[in-house]
Amino acid sequence: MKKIYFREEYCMACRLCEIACLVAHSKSKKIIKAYKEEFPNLTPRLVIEQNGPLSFAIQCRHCEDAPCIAACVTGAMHRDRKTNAVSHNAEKCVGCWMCIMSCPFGVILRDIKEKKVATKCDLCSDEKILACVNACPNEALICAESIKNKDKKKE
Amino acid sequence: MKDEKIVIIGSSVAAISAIETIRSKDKKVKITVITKDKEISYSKPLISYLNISKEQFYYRDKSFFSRNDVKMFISEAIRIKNNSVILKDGKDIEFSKLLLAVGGKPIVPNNIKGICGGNVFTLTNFDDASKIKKYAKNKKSCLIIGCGMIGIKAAAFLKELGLKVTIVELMNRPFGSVLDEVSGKMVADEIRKNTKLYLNTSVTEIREKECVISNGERVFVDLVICAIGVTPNQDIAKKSGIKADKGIIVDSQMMTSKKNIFAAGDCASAFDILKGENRAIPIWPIAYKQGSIAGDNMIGINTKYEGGFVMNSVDVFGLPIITLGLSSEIGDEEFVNYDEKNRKYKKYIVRNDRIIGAILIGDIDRAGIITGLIKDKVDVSNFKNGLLKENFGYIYVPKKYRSKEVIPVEI
Ligand SMILES: Cc1cc2nc3c(=O)[nH]c(=O)nc-3n(C[C@H](O)[C@H](O)[C@H](O)COP(=O)(O)OP(=O)(O)OC[C@H]3O[C@@H](n4cnc5c(N)ncnc54)[C@H](O)[C@@H]3O)c2cc1C
Repeated sequence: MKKIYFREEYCMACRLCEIACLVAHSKSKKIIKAYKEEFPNLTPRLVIEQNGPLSFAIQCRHCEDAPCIAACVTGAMHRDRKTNAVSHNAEKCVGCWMCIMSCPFGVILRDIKEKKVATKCDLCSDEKILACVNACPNEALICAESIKNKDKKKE
Repeated sequence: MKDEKIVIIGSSVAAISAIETIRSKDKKVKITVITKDKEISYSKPLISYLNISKEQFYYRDKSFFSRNDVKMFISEAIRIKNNSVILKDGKDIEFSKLLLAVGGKPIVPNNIKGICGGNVFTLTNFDDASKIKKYAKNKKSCLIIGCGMIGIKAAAFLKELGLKVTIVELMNRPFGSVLDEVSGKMVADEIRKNTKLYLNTSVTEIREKECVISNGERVFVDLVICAIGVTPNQDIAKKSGIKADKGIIVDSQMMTSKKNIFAAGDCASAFDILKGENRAIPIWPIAYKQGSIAGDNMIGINTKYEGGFVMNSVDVFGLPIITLGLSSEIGDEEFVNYDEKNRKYKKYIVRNDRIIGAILIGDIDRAGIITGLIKDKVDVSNFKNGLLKENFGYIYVPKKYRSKEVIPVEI
């Protein structure tokens, strides 16, 4: 399965990925409209981290042995049978935050305004392109095959 | 591989997880489930939620067992004899591999007069919740014994049902086993905005319309909920000569003292990585994990349980709380941030340069990063001073400790 990876040595913390993510998950999918009409109610599905000169954007790793799926008491967090991605069904979520407690990357976010539903990267399920990867001017965000799969292919 | 005949006692998360793991690798092996649940595939932690849809309440949809080609027996398993499970209705179910996923049982103290009365309930399964809902109709007030995880859920449940709630807790603070004094007081204040709360107090007698508590006061109540905790269900194990002591003892393959019998979930006593010994940890994620490990090993795929530790996420009348690990213990170092005004509290307990416990109240975002650091026993000496910083995140985790999941292949 292909995943989004970051290369911290290329990231300049320009936040274009964050904007692209917000817009891609807005209703209108148009930047001005999204910011004017929906903005405070939109939560990006990635986290930009900065510490001194270091920065990167990180989003769901779609772990093979996903602790968030193990912890979810409603079944909202699940493995998508088709794409193998870790998917979140907002209809089922009750906002108990068990997933937030379990994700070692801290990339599942609370969406407090939208009831209590947690949001996370959905690998742009509505779109054909990955918004954050597409927006990154430096190729700090890349889409690549995960290591495990590559190893398997070598065998 | 020979034709296995897998039998699972229990139909909750440990059982479901075992079935999913088995079926993802073996579509053919025979699986039979014995359960005394009349309502199947519901989520236990949601029994006290009133305003959720049917879809939310069911952990897996109702066709889960049939879809996975699982034969069901709705009955109580009484004991194991040779390679068969004996059911209450006299049936005899043969197995080649057996999984005990029988969960926990509510603890009911026997030193309270009147505890066996018809107005006293526990809250640990679907049936309990239905009975309470029915009984609480047109009632005015209730008393909850115990202010832990289930006690607080019971309090919210009965408050939503329209009853006046009083909680009686033996310790000097709510969630006494996982909160410290400061956070305990903070949470107690929050609870008191919503219900009456007696601390350092116990119930001495339950009568039809009132409770007598240890300070001599009498509280008028219609019903009582006993929520002092759960204990592993080891009835069948003990009757069948399987080693059990505060939980059915299992090894890293979730195998009990009998070679073809496994145990997982609230009933099992497995390795606790922080305590360094076996113990029962009755929480959902562990039941899920152990069920999956048992599933693998039952079909001959050798998989090891690395061990787990206590953690919990609970909402106290809108105030989110996450506790991780040995959160009420004292470490070599403690990193604490207490923001009284904004009802926020953060505490990280460090021992031998490893985080062994944490308390997060109010702001719980990204708590999982700490969970990961505890689990992997990451040496935090180089970044522990960053733990309380506003921008604390995965970036603080030294590169050599970062998970393989974040490293891309060369392109
Ligand atoms: C009100 C409440 C709220 C909770 N909230 C949380 C939470 O927020 N987070 C969290 O991590 N955990 C929570 N828990 C704990 C969590 O529900 C348990 O850890 C989890 O359900 C354990 O799963 P299990 O499969 O081991 O056992 P259980 O869910 O206890 O299921 C046991 C199964 O065994 C069956 N069974 C037992 N004995 C027999 C027998 N003799 N014959 C046939 N069948 C039998 C039962 O019918 C049942 O199907 C909560 C628990 C309760 C009660």
